[in-house]
Amino acid sequence: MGDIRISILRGTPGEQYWQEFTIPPTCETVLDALQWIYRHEDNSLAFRYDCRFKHCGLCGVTVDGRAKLACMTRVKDGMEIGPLQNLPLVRDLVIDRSSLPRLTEQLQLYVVPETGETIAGKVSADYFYFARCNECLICATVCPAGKNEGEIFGPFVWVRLAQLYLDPRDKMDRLAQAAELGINGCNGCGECSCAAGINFKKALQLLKGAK
Amino acid sequence: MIVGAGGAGVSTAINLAKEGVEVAVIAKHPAGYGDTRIADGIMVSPGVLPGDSREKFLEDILAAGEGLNDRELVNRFVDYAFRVTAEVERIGHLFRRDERGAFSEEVVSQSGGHQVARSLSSPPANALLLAWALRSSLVRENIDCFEDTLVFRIFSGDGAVHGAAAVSLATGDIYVFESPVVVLATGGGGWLYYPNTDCTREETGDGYALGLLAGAEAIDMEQVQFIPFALAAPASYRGIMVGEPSVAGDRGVLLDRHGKVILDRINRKTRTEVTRAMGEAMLAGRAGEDGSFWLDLTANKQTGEGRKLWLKLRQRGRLAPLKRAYGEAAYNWEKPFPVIPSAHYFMGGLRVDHNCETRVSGLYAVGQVQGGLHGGGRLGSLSLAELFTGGKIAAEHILQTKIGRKVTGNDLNIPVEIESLFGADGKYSPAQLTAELQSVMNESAGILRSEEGLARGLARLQELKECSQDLAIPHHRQFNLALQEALELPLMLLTAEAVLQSALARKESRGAHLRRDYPEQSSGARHVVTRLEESVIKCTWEGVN
Repeated sequence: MGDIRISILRGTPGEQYWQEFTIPPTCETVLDALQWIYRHEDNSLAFRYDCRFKHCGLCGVTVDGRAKLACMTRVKDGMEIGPLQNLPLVRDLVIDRSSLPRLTEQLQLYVVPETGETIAGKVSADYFYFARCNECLICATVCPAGKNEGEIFGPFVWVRLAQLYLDPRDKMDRLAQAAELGINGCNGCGECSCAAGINFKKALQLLKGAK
Repeated sequence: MIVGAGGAGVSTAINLAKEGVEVAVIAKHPAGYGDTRIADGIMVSPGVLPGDSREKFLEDILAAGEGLNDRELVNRFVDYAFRVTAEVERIGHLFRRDERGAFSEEVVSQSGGHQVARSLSSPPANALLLAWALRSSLVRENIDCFEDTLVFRIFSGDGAVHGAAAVSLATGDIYVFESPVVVLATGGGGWLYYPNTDCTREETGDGYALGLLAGAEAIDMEQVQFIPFALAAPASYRGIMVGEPSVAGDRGVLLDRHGKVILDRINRKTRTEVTRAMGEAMLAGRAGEDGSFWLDLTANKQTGEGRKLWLKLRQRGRLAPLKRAYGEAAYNWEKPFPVIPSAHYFMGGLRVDHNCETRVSGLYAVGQVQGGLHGGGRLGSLSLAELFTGGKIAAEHILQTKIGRKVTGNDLNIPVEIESLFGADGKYSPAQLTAELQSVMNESAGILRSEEGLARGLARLQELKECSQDLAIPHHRQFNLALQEALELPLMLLTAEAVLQSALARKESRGAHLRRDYPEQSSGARHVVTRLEESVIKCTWEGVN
């Protein structure tokens, strides 16, 4: 088993370029490869990670055209690795995540209103199902519905709305909100994939008013 | 000004913002990351079931702390812990309830070390829901959050704090904050032990160093909790948790590199007993080249109890790391798999009074960066609770005593010289020095310490300190990871020194601190207190409160 050669799309907006690296076969995941390159080859490489094992959602990259978590993807000879697509690029593999707080504010993606008390009420298992979203933004990169007023907008919004709809404390009409946001415009193309294993159809059905 | 946007930082921020205080949260990563995000979401809620009491809870905490708990901190924590569930759910989190919507025996579990069931959970198996609630609460409360921003210095003088200096890792811009209150909520120092840690990238112990440099004291820094069983490979997964002694079931055994048994009846032993056995075995040369042992759980598959345990762990997602790292056979407990001990939590930390304030007026420490609450051992499921009790306690005190205070003095005019780091043309890469620091920590301040190992470690730290004056850093302003490491390095070196000096000073084995040359607990528990005197670390003894 010989060395592995990969290409990484680097640079800043308007000035991107591919750079090839040769990494040892001890590198098993894409994150392994990025860390190895940073430590031994080129410490100007910019990339993000945090927990190293699937949960936190910070290490999303594009691998051979598909959005993946770097920590969960086996690295292979000939791989092409780039930043998440359709999101504003900062440098190398780092994208701008500021659309997340902006969306949170615009769409009030938090419990409305805040009651100040613990509730005593049943909480459906589906609530916790949707709460698995780790905001990795992978789904946002592939949704062809793309942008909402220039901001990134992806299936994770439906997941949060579904979660809030099932939250017994939340009083906003999330179904109306979803309709206004164009949930009926989802053509069910199925391009969306979720790194946390959430089935978006569940969220869509719930928000469209299906039982 | 709040440094850190995990549970401790955000909860403090919200408590202040709600009272109209102007708050800025500075976070090294995006908000809602750090160890809070990957916690297992299980939180203690004392008194949630009948049959619990303040006395029982107190008893359990003190038993785990092995004589080193600060009683004042524990009492305050316990008082607030009885109301903590409401605090956490206020920000948008929810714990699991039963079919009727109640916290009944069905959904309340008994965590390790607790004499009754009193822990709530929030599926799925980790605190992502809480992390989302924290992040979105910052937006709801309109709190200014400077993400991807690293605080590298705290300004203080005349026994009071004045503010801080930070750099945006996104743009390379420097920020100077003026504030009579700085709350350190920077988490622990697990990353000092990378790769032998399950902690996240931010946990470089920044707060301990920032606090010491600002004039605060630290307490019992040698108390580092290790999880006995973590993945050994592949490299990017090394240190990820496999489990506690309980995952070994009734029949699991720990084997050395020759296949000989080191330990059996593992699930009856404490974390410390297991890690001590692993430490002894390492010193006896029984570990593999990569420092690993083999955990053999195969015999469990032959008993009903063993198979039940496997199913329970699988359902909770606890076996996923095995499948990912080692494949189906290991996942099915059909063959032994390699494990290493992994740095998990710092019980020691910045010394505070019962208001979470250090001896520097206006400088507070909340969450894992705070020391003294857990003494020599943290009781399971307490770490999430302390983020919120601390956030409330600190905020209340700030509101009572610090509002209207103005920053005085000229300390903020100190030139903030980090421009020279961009494009620095020295000899050493920050990554290289950081890796060496991490190997010093693993060799000298791991699960089993000795005078000789600690002295060697301290000497190496001195060398690394000198090398860190001569760094090679790329010029990029945006997400310059080498610059980040260059700024963390002096803080990590100081924290490392505090840990090693404290470990050297404590000539006994107590709590999580195990000395090969002093295997017994000496009579009478005392704190090791660390401070900087004229830029030199000094450790002294003090009685326990």
